Amino acid sequence: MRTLSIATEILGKILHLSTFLGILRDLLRIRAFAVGLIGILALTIFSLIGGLVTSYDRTYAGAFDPQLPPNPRNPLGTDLLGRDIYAQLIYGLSNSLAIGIIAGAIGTLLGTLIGITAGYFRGFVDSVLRLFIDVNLALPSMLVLVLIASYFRGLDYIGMALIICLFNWAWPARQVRAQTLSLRERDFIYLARLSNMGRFEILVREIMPHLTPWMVANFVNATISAILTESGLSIIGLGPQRSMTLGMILHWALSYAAIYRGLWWWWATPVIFLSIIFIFLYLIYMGITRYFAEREVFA
Amino acid sequence: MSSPFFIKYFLSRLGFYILTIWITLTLTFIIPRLVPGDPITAALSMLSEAGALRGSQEIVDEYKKLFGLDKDMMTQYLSYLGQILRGNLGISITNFPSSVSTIIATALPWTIILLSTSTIISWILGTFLGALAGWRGIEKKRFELLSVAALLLYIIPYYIVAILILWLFIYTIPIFPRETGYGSINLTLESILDALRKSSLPALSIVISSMGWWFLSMRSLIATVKREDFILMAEAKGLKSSTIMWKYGFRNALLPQITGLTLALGHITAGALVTEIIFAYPGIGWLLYQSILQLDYPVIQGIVILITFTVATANFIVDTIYPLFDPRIRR
Amino acid sequence: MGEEILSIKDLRVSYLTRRGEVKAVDGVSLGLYKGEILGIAGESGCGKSTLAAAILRLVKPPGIIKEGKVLYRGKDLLKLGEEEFRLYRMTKIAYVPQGSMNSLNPVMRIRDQFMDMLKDHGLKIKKEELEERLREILSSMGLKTSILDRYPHELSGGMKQRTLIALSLIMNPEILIADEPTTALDVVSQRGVMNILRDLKDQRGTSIILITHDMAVQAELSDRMAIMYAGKIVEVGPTEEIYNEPLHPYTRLLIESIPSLGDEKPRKSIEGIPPDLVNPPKGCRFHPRCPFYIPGKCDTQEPMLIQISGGRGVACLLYS
Repeated sequence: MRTLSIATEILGKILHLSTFLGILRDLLRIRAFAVGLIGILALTIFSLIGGLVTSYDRTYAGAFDPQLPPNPRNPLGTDLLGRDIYAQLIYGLSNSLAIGIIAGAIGTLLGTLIGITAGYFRGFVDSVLRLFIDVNLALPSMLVLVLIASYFRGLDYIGMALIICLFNWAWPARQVRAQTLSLRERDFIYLARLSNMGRFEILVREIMPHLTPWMVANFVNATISAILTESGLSIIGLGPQRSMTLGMILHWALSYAAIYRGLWWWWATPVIFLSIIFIFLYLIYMGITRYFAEREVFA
Repeated sequence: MSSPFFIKYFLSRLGFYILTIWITLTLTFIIPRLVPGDPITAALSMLSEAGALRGSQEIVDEYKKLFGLDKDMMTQYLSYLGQILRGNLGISITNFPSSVSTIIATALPWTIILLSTSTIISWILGTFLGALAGWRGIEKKRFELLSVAALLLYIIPYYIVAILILWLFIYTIPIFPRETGYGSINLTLESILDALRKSSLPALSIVISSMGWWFLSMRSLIATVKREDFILMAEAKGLKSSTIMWKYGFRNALLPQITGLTLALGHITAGALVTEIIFAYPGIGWLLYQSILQLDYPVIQGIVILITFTVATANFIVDTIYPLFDPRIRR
Repeated sequence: MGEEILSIKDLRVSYLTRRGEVKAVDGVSLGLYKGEILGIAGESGCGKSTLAAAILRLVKPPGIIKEGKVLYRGKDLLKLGEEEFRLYRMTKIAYVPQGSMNSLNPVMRIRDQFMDMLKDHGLKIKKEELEERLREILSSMGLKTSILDRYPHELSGGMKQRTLIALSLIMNPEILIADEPTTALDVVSQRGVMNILRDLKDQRGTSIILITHDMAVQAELSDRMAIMYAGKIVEVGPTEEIYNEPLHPYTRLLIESIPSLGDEKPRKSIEGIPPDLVNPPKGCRFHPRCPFYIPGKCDTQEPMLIQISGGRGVACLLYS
């Protein structure tokens, strides 16, 4: 019963629309954030609407004549196998963003939970968790993912997101742990403990709200890192073969020597769109950190 | 150096280092075995689907012998660890009966040369430019521009820079020939020149990609140092501004910049590997790419183990040496 | 009194902040005579440190020296070129900073921090002579030459402070500006530093500008004093005379706040809050806290610094 009421309260706090909108409005005043957010929203809308104008069978081999430069029927041309690149872009864009956001969200949530637990309970629990975090950070994530992905081929984009999550939680965990360690010494926590709040309750009601800035910043960061990882793995040939992502498009372009064949529309499309995704996401991240730095939240 | 504090620190770093290696080895043991069936059969079945097989029964027997696949998990694990620690990384499937170590050894020098020269060059360039930008930055407009460029380079992934350079210098302005991923190093002049030619574009790509981070990092470090009391005092001493910038500012910002190398090493290595693939440069990255295509699992595994070991060792060495350089820690 | 070697005329230094222009030094005129210790006293934020920074041209943005002259032997220091003035630092005018915890370069040995200063000033001395000078100056500070091979973090606070003083004296400057030299120290080190300063004046004839809010230290060391409040000088004159008969109400309150042995009750501190330097009080800046405040007069007219008798000056409407 108690848990239920706490859960609804978290939800209420998270969905506290008026404060949320207020923060959003202030954030939008920071130019970096505004540009980045609008950019990502534009890309998302583009991939959703663009999907209405096209259909998936345009991405099948042989749908069109191969190696066609951009023309009225194929706005971005076709590749070596006669697939429409514009269609590939639409589906690739949404999958790439989806992987990023899913992996980013799970990783941040996981990392935050682990970080809070380690920071709040300290002692043995903290030592163990800290070791987990440090080892995870010390391992070369890309290589272990290469290992995993090479044995588990045929992943779809969800599977991809999940294996990426294995590694992107550690950095948020470390940050959140450090923050929790300092927060728990503050007076309001002491008061909460005196007023006989359960430990779990304190964690959720008192500490978590203060960690929101970090959670948000970490989420954006984790999303960027996830898309980076996915595209990197795809280029090596370990991407989600069953889904289309921007990384996969680039992989095919490289495998079929698109650059040497002069099929610039084929490789330039994923390159350009990946670049602008990273730029926009990073602008959002810069905006968020500047917003919180100005309010002296980030020490 | 033999103070109790340092010994305790050294031992903890050593312990962590050993732990990391052990966990990596364990992961490389476990992951193949998570696939249904035993790892070799799984690999071979995928290969036979792709229609590329040679001496299959020999391979299976060899492996069963080497890794005791017929025995229980624990014995397998221990013999696996024993083999690895003895330097036996297994036998390649595609290039049977060559050992994984031999195959990696041909590609390794290429990667080492590329990675070390690129990292050193980009670190030096980035650090110095970043120092200048951070120290004098507020006045000059051109440093603002540099900072934006550095940020851009930091954000753009390694492979995109590599693709653009490839396109620019091989396709558009054919200064360089297209590489095929084949290369052997011997001591003839021709071979050395060939190696230089092969490595110049990948090196350029890696330098450009990683320089941004060094620039931004040093710039922020020096800007922080600039606000310290001893900088004001240095000025009050009537020191020349160049003395203040280099001996008081730069030197203090340098130490954390050096430790930054350890943190970035893993990231740069991954970027270098992908760059090699784009340029068909005959290093470990290209080998990895080929092995993935040809489903040569022992080689993939061998590379993962090797790189992890190298990065962990490099980090361990820097972690150990760093306290010796910082007079403040040296107790 | 000897000749006037430093003459500050109508100096104005402000900090341009987002809140507005903070007038930290607002029309200060002062003279320093050869061989004297001139004390500058006042509470935190009154502008004394900014004054020191201005003389040494160490004012950093958003601070800016707006107008005024700082005449050293006839030359206006504020008008000299950067490189020319650089050579004056520590050779003619030396500086000992406040709170010396972090004023030494953490990654250089003490010896090198002396040497680079000498080198950048183009001083060419023979090695033996240099070692002798170092040894002499360090021992006059009560420091052993072994500290030369140490790093700053290996020294205590008192040792660091004395090292900084040694640093400031090694090139025999004519003027020493000491900014709160005793404030961050323990009582024993304080006494040591005070003795050093006194010897400097007596034996080397160095003129010292001693900046400190500690009125007890001022009483012991300064020959003459200038009291600052809200960026202006409110009283100036020989220390003994000021202590015997403080003219400005603020001076009186400052002196009364010095505790002494045998006090039964705790001393009164000065009431009110420090003035806002962006929008200072109208008229006399001290009037909101002044026990002798005359309504209608003190809040409209600004008092000027007037000469009372030889060398004694005060800026208060009670005397004009």
